[in-house]
Amino acid sequence: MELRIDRVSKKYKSGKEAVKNVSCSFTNGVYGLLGPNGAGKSTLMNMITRNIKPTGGEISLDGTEIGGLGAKYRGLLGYMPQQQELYTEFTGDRFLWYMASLKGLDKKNAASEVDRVLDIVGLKSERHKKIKTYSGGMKQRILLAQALIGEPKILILDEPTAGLDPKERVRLRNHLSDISKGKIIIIATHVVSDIEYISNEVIIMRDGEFIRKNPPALLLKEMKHKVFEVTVNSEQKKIYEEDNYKIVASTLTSDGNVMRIVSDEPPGHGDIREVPPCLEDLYLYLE
Amino acid sequence: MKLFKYEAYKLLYSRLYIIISVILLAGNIVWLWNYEKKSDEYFYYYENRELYREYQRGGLPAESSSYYESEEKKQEDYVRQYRLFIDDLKVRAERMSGTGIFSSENGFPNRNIQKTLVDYEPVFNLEIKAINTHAIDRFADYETGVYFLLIFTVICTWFVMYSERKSGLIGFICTTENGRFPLAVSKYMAVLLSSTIFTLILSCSELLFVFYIYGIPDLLAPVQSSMIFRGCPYLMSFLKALLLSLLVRLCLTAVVSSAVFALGVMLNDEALYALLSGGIFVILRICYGVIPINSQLGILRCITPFYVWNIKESIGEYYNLNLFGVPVSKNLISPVCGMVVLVLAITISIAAFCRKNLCRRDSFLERLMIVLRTKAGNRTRYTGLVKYEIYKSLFQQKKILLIMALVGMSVIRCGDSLKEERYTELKEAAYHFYMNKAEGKITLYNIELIEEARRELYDSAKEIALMFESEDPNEVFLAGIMMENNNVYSDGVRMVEEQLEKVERLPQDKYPRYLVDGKAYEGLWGTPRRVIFYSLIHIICGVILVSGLYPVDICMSNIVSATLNGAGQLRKAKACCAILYGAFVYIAFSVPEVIALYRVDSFKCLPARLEDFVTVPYKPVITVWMVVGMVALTRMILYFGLIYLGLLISKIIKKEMVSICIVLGGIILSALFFYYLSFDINRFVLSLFRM
Repeated sequence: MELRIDRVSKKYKSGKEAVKNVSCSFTNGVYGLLGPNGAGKSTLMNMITRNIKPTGGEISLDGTEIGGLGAKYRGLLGYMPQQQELYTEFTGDRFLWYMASLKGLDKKNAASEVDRVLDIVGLKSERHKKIKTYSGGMKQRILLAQALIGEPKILILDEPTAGLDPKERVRLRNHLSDISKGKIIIIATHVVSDIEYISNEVIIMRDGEFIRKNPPALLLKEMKHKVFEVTVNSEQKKIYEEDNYKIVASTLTSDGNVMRIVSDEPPGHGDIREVPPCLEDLYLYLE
Repeated sequence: MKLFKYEAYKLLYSRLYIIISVILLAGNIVWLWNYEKKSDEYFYYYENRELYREYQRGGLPAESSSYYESEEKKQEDYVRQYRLFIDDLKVRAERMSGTGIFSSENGFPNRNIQKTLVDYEPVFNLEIKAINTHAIDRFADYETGVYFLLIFTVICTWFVMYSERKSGLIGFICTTENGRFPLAVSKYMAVLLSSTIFTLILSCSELLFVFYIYGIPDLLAPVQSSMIFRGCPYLMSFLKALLLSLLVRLCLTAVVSSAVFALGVMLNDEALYALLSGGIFVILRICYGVIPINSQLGILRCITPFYVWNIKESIGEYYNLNLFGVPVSKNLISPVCGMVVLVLAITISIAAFCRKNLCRRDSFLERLMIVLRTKAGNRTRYTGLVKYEIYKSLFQQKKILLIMALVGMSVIRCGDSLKEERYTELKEAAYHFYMNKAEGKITLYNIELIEEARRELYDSAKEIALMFESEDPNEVFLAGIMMENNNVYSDGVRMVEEQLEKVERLPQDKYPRYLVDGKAYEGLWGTPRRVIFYSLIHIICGVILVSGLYPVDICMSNIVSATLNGAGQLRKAKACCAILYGAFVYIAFSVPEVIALYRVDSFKCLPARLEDFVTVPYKPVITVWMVVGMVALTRMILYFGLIYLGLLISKIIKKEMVSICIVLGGIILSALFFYYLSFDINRFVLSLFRM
């Protein structure tokens, strides 16, 4: 199965070009779509799910334009958008049954699927409560659960871990990694750790364009010798801030300020150590 | 003050709150209207106002004016009786003093007599007038408004207290500097002010309605001019009485809203709050309904909101309660008790707001529902999209309230269809009396029936003639009354005979001829404005029901449209749901109409041809059932068409309120046009069949 994005762009009536002539190909595996807010991630997701039509280019599945596939394509999709609005008067259980109906499941399959996905997202004990009583994290989990119903072949998740606690994040990451065989999973996020360890390929988007598209290892290679940890006093810290260094993290310790800095050249002040890079460093480096 | 303004804004900007308030106010007027429709006054002074005006000008024949005459006579009798009642009060008091239980000066009976005399002193020399007081009488007689107020206070407090609990805002609002005492006062003021405004609008709308129906009486006349205020010991005009009643109602509103607010603050469980408030109101209603004012527990009756609201009792009734041997006016006890409740409620609510944890707790009903849902498991689950569309519409969009309102209206209209018939003329009543027996296919049976009625009247006339010859004046007097009755019945039989003759003169063919209660059909088909009004209401409801079917998915459109059935199947499900709603609205409208039709002749005359009872020339083959069928079909097409139009527009616009406004704007304008022309579907269909 190959989902292909070919020179796709989206220009809104307001004149804003949210996605600019991007191309890539997705085969089975997990893909991370990284980018700041407004980079065009959600627009791209919505075009892949056919919620909005591209103004240029084509999205195809195994060579057929997805618009022509209609219900056949929608039958392969599982989509979790970035939203919190749901049918508040539904219980979690009823909502999932409704989604199962929309996905064309019969009663028997719907029952087993609803049980399965509730188990995955850890909402079994809360299934009979009305959604209006759910917390933000629970709403996020029920949204994820609906996307997983029917074991879709193409799973599109927009900010799936927003509002989840660290334990739930890890659990979700592991689950997605487990089910990725034979599926295309695209995860759009600005939380680098969500995709760092599970994605086969990471796409970094900025201003509607793909600025990097590589496996994480290759991306990290690019950052080699560019990430440093420096221990500085308050005056030296000020110098780094004024010189517009990209400071990934800053921690106050008994030895002074320990700062993680991304830079093409080794910084010149304080006690400097080169450290192994992570995706977050790259993300900030490219900003 | 600023906080209070924000509380008021929150209420004013809550669409649901505004809608519920308007529904309650409109519901009260509809209820009043329906209540009035059952009264004689409504029939004779509003529905037949032209006749009444004619009577006032003195242009009515004797038999037609009998009701108005008897009413006038009743009023004049009352004026005479009132004077006797007041004079008798003094005489009785003097006679009773010093005898039996009244002899002890320190006893309650004696004190009560003395107090009564003192209290009535202002009206001893009062001269009352025989005037038309129907508007005031009916206003005082209607007591359902208090239920609407009670419901409103519960809902208003819910909006002020529980909406923030539900959203979780209360938790951090209370942690702010002004989050306790100032906020408590602001919230209380918001409830109090809203309830006060509600009562003002409610009472004024009731008053305007009765004034519109029955006309404005002489407001400066003494209140005792109305029979229901006979026992009133206060010297005041109708105007003062109305203003006083308004003041009393506003004070009552303050007490009730404070008490309800206190409950709302104290109970974090909204279901418990609703149940407890409802329970207290039910107990108070039972006290009001069961306890007589003159019993030992009479005090419990006179402090209920139902008693205080009812000006017929609070102003028109005089009673002193025995308070440790001292007679105390019930109208003193009610405000004192009200004041105590008010102070207690304010203190408790403010104190509770300042000290309590106000965060929401799952209601016990919700907890119970969770248990039931768990027990039911997958047995109650389904995968049919139509069912989910209905569920979303009914519960997510709260359209179930509209469905309930429609059912309620249908039930009320069914009741109207079954209510006792009233006639403006005696001969018309006699015509219906005989027609009810003789209507149907013309056979020897109904011809004989009419002949027999004629014979009976003839025999009766002979008997009456003999009675007139009697020397006994009582018998002559009786004969006079019997002759009047006999004449009325003769008129009725004559009308039936004339109709029968007319039908027999029509060309006879292979189809049978019918004797039909033409006047009843005239009543049924000849009220276009009523039909247009109810049709409009039902179509509006239908459009509101379907207009939400697409917009309900707006928040979920991304998810829904990315599913297998999220396009075509979902559209079909929504269309199916719209058809079901259309059918429901159509049935809700039609059931009372069918009952009204059944009431005319039990469907006996459906095969009758229009020319059997209508003078306007219609095509000879056209029968009643053809007209009824065509009307039903045309109406069905119209209903479904307009409702489907509502669905289509909401599909395009995707905004419920906007699509409702667009569709309803068009429908209401057309309805007003037809209303102005008095042209409805019945007349349209009938006009199709004219020769």
